[in-house]
Amino acid sequence: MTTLRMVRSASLPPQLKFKRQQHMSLCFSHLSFRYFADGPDVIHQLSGEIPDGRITVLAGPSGQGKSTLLYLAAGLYPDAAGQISSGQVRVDGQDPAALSPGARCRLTGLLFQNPDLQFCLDTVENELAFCLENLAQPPAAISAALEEAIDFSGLSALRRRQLVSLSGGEKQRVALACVRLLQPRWLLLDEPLANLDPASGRFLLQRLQSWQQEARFSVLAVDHRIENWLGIADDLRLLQPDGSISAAWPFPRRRQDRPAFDQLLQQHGLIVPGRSYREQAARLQGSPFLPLATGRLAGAGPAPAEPATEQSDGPPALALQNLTLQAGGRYLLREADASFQAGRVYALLGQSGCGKSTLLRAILGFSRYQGSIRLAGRRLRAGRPPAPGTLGLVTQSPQDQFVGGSVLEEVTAGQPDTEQTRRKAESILRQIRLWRFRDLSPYQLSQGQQRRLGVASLLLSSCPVLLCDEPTYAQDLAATLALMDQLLTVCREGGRLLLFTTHDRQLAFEYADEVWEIQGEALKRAAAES
Amino acid sequence: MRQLNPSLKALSLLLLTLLLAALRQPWLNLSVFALCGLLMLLSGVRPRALLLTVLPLLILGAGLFFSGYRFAADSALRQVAAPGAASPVLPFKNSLLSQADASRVSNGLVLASRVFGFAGPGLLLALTTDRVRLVRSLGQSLRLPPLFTYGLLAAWGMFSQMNLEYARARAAFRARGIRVTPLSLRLLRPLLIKSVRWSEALAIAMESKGFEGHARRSSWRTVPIRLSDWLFLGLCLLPAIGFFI
Repeated sequence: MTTLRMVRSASLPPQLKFKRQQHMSLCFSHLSFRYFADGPDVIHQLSGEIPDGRITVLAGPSGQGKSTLLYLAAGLYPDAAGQISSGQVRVDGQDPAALSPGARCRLTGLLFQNPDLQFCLDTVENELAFCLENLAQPPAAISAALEEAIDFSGLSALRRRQLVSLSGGEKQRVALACVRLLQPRWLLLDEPLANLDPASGRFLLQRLQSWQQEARFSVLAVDHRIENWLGIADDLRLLQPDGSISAAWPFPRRRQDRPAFDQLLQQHGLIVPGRSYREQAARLQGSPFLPLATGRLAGAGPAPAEPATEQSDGPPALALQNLTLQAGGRYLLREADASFQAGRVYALLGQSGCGKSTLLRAILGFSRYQGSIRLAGRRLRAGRPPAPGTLGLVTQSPQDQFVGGSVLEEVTAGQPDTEQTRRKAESILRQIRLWRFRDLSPYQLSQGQQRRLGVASLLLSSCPVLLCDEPTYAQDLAATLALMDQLLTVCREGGRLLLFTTHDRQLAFEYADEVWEIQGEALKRAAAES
Repeated sequence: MRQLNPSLKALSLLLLTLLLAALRQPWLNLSVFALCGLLMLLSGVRPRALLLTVLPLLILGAGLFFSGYRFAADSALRQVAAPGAASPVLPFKNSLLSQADASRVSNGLVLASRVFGFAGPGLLLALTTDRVRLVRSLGQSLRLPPLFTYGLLAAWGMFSQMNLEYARARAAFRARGIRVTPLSLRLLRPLLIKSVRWSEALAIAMESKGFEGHARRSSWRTVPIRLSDWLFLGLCLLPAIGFFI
């Protein structure tokens, strides 16, 4: 039983003329958009214009509708969801939602945040061919264009691979090759580097930059991490709380321009490249970007309880012995040994596809392995899940961990149905400002609210080991600080072990007691970079 | 088998299955299954995978055999018990089994062998067909609209990922200390919500790549119908001879 919503039948596409003319810009005028007819506006009276031929980065606090804006510019909304209650979107003078998909994809192309949800076929080659088949290109032209796109994105070795077997970075390279084939006038990027390691992200952006310089098309990227775009993008724009898009600030080209640019980022609550999270948290105190979570910022308020010492009398909370992991016929880890103590925080680094998530999956009993994994001294059976209540889980996508029918149920799930539980749940939900949404389904919350709920739902449980897969994935500075603060509180106050994966080295070294890294099939302690 | 036109292959195997359903020939059913097994092995299906698939069939077959044996229709018994009548399937003349018993065994064998007769062609199609080739051939050979063929492909892709989603949903419950049985209804809610969201995201992704349900589209790889496809159809229709024997 599938509920596949297929695309509507096409209306006849108006002829697109791509010669330069006077309306070459992406223009929002007095735009208001809501997801539900009786719900509030997600975007309210937004106006702004992005000129063509440039790489523009759009930033701003989470939950302000940046991704929604991209979907509107791509013409996918309001057809796929929601309604425009006032105003309009014009891309090069045209309403993208009025175009047929075939005509629209030559005007706007969208690179999605989650690469897992943007492929329709099975292999790299078939996915790329699918794009041109949609445009009714002849087979010979498809073959030629395919070769060029594969070469451009560095996919020669992967062309016959199954898409599900690729890493996040490899999948985004395939997505880039797809838009290269479609050649849109406007390329819209929705946090395309959110789950990529720095090397994969750099590769993707360098390719994009060289292509843009050659073809002079326009790029609008939504990203919280401005440092990704230094030396690549032309302009930075902010989605402001009053519903307008700020004037363009040019990215610094010279070293002496950096301090002023950093100052600007700091003023607007954005992550300042090269500055520590604790320093940024301290500067954020009292600003309108103060995190919503527990009310105390990491390093800025009372420090959490001290971590447990490395030596402990009992067995480690989690131990890996001679652990060997394989995926898709290749080794990810060989005979790895590590032990993790209760009450301490551990970060796990590594490139995309190196095996971080696979290691977490092995601990959770999703995948098989050689060697042993022990929880508090008890050996787990490979491929079998541990006993309920022994492992807490914060997934990359918070929706993967929801078990309750309402926000309140989500917090109380697995707890005895007592007055005390209800009082504690109310206190937690008030703390994270979700009490008024207690009767809503968790899936109806915004992305940022879902993530806060995901972490907060572990506050009542007593599992001794917490595993978190990229907990700060695609979060802005305030949300990143708030989430890490919450996690540290859960870990320290409950005397639990916290193991989280991340691509953010700075975050790892600032928040973890120990940082481990998967590199060249080995799991080893990582050294801080100068 | 992998080179055959997938649409014609599916049609041939469907006709074969219908023929087997119309005939009461246990040996024919088992022969078809054996031939399908052989073709699968020759097409590169791993023997271990095949054996693992056959195991549940054996259990189901045994169950149906005893059901057929125990609940054979009275009319069938009377017909066999008539003077001079031979067992329709088994050469039990002068054996220790009575004719009624022979009929019960025959009835059980027909039912049990049908499991294999139907499973063989089904497995042959599923294990030796590339899904993208099938979708392409459905469009090219049978002229089915892309909305249907690519919808089928997307659903196929989603179902292959459902295992992982199911495991994730169970892990989420275990993480909260909640025991859920493998068939617990509590797992249904997250799985249903995810299916809906997933299908919507996929439809958006397809649309953003220019896909239109009823628009003209080209095909990068053609899937031709060759002589071998017609020969295979002929082979699948061979059991029809059974009607004349």
